[in-house]
Amino acid sequence: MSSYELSQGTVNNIQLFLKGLILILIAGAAISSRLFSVIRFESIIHEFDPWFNFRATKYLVSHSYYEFLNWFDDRTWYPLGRVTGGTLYPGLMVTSGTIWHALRKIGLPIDIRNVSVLLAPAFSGVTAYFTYLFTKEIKDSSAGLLAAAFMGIAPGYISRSVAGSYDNEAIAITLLMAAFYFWIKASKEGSVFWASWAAVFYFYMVSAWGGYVFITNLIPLHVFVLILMGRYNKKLYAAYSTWYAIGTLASMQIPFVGFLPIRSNDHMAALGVFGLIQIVAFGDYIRSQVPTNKFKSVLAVSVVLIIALGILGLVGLTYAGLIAPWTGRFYSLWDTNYAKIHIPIIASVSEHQPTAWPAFFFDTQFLIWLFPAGVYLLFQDLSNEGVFVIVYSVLCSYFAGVMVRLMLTLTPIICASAAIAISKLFDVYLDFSEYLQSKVVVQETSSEKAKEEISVTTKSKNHTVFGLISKLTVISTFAFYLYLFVYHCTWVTSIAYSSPSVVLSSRLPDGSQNIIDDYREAYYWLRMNTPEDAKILSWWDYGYQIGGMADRTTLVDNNTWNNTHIATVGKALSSSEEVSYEILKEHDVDYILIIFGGVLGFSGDDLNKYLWMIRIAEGIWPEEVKEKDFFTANGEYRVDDQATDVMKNSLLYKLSYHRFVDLFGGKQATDRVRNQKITKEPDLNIVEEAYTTENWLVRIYKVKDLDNAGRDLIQSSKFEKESIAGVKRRVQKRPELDLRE
Amino acid sequence: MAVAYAIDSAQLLQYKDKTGSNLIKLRNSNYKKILEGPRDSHILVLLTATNPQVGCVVCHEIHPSYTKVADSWFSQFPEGENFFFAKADFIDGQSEVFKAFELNNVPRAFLFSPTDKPSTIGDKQYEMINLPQGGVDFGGFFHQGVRQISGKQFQIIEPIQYGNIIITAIATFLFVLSIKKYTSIFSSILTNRPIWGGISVFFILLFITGYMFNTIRGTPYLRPNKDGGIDYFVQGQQDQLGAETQIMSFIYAVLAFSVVSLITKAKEIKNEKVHLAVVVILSAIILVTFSVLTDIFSLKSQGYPYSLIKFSLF
Repeated sequence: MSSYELSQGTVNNIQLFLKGLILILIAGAAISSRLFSVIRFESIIHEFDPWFNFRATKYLVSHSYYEFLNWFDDRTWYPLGRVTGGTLYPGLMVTSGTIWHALRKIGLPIDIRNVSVLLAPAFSGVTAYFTYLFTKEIKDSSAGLLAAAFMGIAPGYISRSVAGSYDNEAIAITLLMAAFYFWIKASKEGSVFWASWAAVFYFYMVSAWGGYVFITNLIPLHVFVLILMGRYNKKLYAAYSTWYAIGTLASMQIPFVGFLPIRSNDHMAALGVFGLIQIVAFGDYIRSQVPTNKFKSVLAVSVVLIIALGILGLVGLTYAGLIAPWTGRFYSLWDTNYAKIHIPIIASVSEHQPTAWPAFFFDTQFLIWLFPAGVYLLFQDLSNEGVFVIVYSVLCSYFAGVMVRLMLTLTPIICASAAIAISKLFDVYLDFSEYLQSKVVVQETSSEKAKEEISVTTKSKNHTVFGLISKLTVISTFAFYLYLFVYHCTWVTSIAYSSPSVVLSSRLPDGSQNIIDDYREAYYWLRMNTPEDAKILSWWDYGYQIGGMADRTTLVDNNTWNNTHIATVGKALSSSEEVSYEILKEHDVDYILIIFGGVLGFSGDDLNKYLWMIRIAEGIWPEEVKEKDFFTANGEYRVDDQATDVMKNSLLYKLSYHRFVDLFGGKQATDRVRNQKITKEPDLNIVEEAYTTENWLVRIYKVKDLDNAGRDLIQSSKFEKESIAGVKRRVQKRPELDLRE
Repeated sequence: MAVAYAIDSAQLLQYKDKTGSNLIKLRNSNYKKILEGPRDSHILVLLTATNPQVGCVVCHEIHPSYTKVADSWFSQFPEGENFFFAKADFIDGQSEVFKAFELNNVPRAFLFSPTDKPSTIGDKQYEMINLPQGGVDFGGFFHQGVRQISGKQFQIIEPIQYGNIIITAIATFLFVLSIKKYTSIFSSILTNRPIWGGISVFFILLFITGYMFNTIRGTPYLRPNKDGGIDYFVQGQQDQLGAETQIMSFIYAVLAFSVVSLITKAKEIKNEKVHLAVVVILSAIILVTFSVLTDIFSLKSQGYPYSLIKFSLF
């Protein structure tokens, strides 16, 4: 080989250079495909949760780290407040805070908003690199590069990491891949060093996302399966013990996690496997000392006994209350009806719905069918790392099927498995060394770009044109699929995942883009026109945005830590005015903010979320709020004149359709979301309209003060209406009579 | 004063006993007699349709709960205590009953209260009961309702499934016995990689084609369409039918199998001409199947701009 023009050293250098170049290009592609929203709209924080993260980050950079950890936020969950510093995962804020400080140190004072907006795209480049390293450990670097490229542009991951999507997942997937890479490396080499790195990234992950429980359970499961397969070795022992000890101790330093790792059932698998591996190691040691035939059965029996005792102990301790049982979200993964019956608040979130098959194809296109092929191929030459990929694949496929949001954790392994399949295919069909005997090495490196360890075996076969055609057939079709994949990903990213959802856009009949900016219009109005300590009541979805954009106190927000408080808001919105007014006054509410899409045709408005409000309220006050009262006798959800009286008298209904009929100026008033006709102006007494945005998307009402003559508000407003009508009353009567006919 | 009831509790009890269960079965021949009063008892009527063609998921959910509540009631009040349970299932072909109630939707529940006056069903002298949406505990719902109406306390008795217990016991026994006897076969199965590979891939294929979606949402297997035919696919990315899981997992399996064959099996063929033929056939299978896949996806998600080969099938 070295007798040709290029020496081995030069080839390695070229390979290294090409690999570096490719990875940089992948990072570039990953980042640039996430910038659609910034280019189309502006550099803005998206959706709901990111607004809280952004608000917390601003707090962090303007205060010290310890003040941040001790932050008690009295501007949310009024009047309870929230121990924000102790109930958040600080990883994301600390990361962007650090970047912000570092950039200032080197003389680049960048606005914290821009750091936050661009954090997710930047981290996606790092994710691609760790996916490369991870897949390289499973197969080789050519598979790694493919996996990195897939990961860079797969919509399944882009969905949560476009610019402006400043959420925990933005960095969590990077950390997930890093932790898994170091774990694979550690278990392969039995190295304490790599295991410590795995623990460090595990700690980082714990600080950043609640989904860390996935790592906490997957790594022990990997070890457990390996032990069952009889693949226990000392390397595994060193890696797992190190990871578990350091990782658990480190994770307990996060205030929100605290003593959970030793007190919650979610973490017990890791502890159990830690105990198990000690026993297996001990048994292994004894066996090496005293070789007896009987020993094996003694070992087997004792292992079974210990597992049984462990489970019994766990159940006992859970009953005794020493260990917290599994969290509701965890239950809802296994018993899929659990959430629906017991915790409607979890079931109400659209991310927690099960996944239909088109979503998988939409998010990964042809990788989805290469994925099972890749998993199957791993069985052929089953390595310990392969077992990890298999366990990850099967388990996470299930999770992703149960909850849409967990598609995110499945995407990395789909990319890795598919890359393994494609790279194995290319190993077979892209090997032209037989035809190009004279320039084997040079051609290989530049055509395949980066293939390590090519074993050039000179075969004594006759190379006919048939072999060449078969290779070209496979390569050309798959090159086409890859090409199509890039188009698919770009299309999906552009069409589905690049909308900030704070700013909506629609197409006018002439094809031009129309930006609907009602949310910010309303929040800005609140910020400018209401007292700084005004309390705003809205459904919890908008809590974070009100806090972040309007800077006003809210009753409930997306943190959803207190179900009763949310149910209170649900009850206030779904009850009659008399009942609602009591609640509003008890909670010092100054303004009510609702989302109404009936004018615009925006289907995600409050009336469409109404059933969830009612259900959550019914969970606490089953006697006062009843879901079935809101359905007509035929079981339909109606808002027109056939709606039930309870519906028509409920506060949210009145708030939504106040002045709606007037808007149409005598023409038939039609709700464009529910396609129903509204004929009557609801009778609204306890609040007055304060502001309605351009497209009627957001409506703000001011809660009236108690009547100064001691009447109840319905009487007083009736009196007022009559006295205003005064002289006109006689004139008005006529048309009213006509209407009744 | 004694009122001459057209139907009294003793007669109702007879009707009930005739069916051999605790539910009175409403038939074309008897429903008028049973429901058109005057009567001295409450009659709770459930109209349902458990035919697979109807695809009524809630019906399947509701039926066992209803039976359970009726069984519990009669086990504590064998004479009925003036409360009876009746049902009509569309599957039994008693369509006149359904016509009489002018139903378009099932399941529906109605309560007939004791009355001194005769009335036809068309007079609507009954209460319609708002059934909760699917996914709730119907047993609890009926239990609470019956307690409120009758004013009597009674317990829900969970029937003990002796059959299940016996079957489980026998199966476990046989299983353990066969493991004991054929240890070597079992251990070779347990350590057989292709089997494990097959199982893993099987589960992955199920999960990525929306099996859990079907289980959680209880989607119907097929859906009849307006033209009288049957839909295998429904439009919309957030929805699917039971059959779709099977079709899609088959498509994915064909694709994955072809790729695996290209990688592992094709290279073992020594004859180059045969090798070429096999590779071309496998590539063609992949191309065609993938085209079908994209076509199905465009059907599900309107406006999907890419396709390989357009088949007019869909």
